[in-house]
Amino acid sequence: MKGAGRILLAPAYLLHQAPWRDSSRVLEFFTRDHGRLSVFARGVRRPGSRVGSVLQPFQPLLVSFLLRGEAGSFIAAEPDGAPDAPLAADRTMSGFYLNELLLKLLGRHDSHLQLYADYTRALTDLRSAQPQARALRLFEKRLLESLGYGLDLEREAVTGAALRLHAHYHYQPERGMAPAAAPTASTYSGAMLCALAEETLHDEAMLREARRLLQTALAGCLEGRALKSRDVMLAMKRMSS
Amino acid sequence: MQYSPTLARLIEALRCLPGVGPKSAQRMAFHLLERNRNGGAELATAMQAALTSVGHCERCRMLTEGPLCAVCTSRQRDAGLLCVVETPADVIAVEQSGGFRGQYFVLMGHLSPLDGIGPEQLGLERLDARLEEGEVREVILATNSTVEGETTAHFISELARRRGVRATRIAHGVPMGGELEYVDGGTLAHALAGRQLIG
Repeated sequence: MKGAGRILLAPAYLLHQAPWRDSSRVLEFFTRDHGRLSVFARGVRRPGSRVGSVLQPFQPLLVSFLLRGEAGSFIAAEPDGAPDAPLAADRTMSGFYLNELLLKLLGRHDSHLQLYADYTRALTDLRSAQPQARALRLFEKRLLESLGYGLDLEREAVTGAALRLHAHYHYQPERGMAPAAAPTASTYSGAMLCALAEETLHDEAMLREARRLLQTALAGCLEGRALKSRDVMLAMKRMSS
Repeated sequence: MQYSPTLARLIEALRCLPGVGPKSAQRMAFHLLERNRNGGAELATAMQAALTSVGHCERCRMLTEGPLCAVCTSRQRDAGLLCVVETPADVIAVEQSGGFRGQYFVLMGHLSPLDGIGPEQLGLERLDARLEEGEVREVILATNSTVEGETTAHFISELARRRGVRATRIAHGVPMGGELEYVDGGTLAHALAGRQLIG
């Protein structure tokens, strides 16, 4: 959806905002129909600008903007229905992590309808009482699928044989799962891989194992770029432990 | 029309000020040179003096010359009350409210995970050390009412809890003289959640 055009009331989430010049901001949106977009919003940092309270991350918005080539000009934003409850303060870091993944891995203007629904669901999961790790792992798995790098969690890479619950596997980037002779610190259990495939990850050990696998797979997509939100999260953990 | 090199340099230098574009910079430069050379000289001296002598207070990180700021050295201020704000401008805003007699800690920003701004950049180790000293009874978290501001306030409240210090958050809600009809949904939800007993 490149080129010029006025887009009115597009469903979107705000991923990030950065100050631009004296009174303006650059807004990064994840829109349902137009993918990730950078939009220049003039004057929104002026005193008395009312749109600041609407432009908050993790809230469904309806955004209007003018698209000109790569970037757009912001026209207006309003909440999409009643605002969702804010993310609990101890869960916002997870939300920022999701946003950074989208910012770093999505190209501009590529529509990802399914991923938009997955992001909405991840935010709903983060608002619920279930473990944050579960919401994050499921989103990471689905993000890889949307990017075309989905993990084959049903078959072995070379033989095509079905993965077995009690076996152990090595993960070979861009190929898939290869059987391991014995479990080691770098192998993955068939039980976890099946649970991840069925999205029924529950116990903590499995969630940790899934994190190891998904981080390796995501690192391949990130091509060496570090995730700043992860570094900040680690620094916060170090300080409060 | 070409400016002379020194004039061009002055115009370019003035553009580092907020809200000043090429036109305004030119107007300012011509004004100083044509109508107010004394004012210009005073501006240059004041700026030079401020840039060389003004640094950050060792205790609260507020802008000041000398190691400690006036609030941190004053005996009139209650060292048991510590107000945590994001910027020096926020200190001035709270001071102008006239209702606060405690001390401050200025973060110079907020936790901003996507920009890589974490506890270290906000000087939170220094804040934690101050809480550990035992003099502070209450930390008032006056960070902005944004998701980042709330995240920062929550993290500091956890630090305070570990040190046995009471942490409070400033209230959010309907502005003075405000009409409910024109208050946005998020603010109104906050105001309702933070309602107080009356009478």
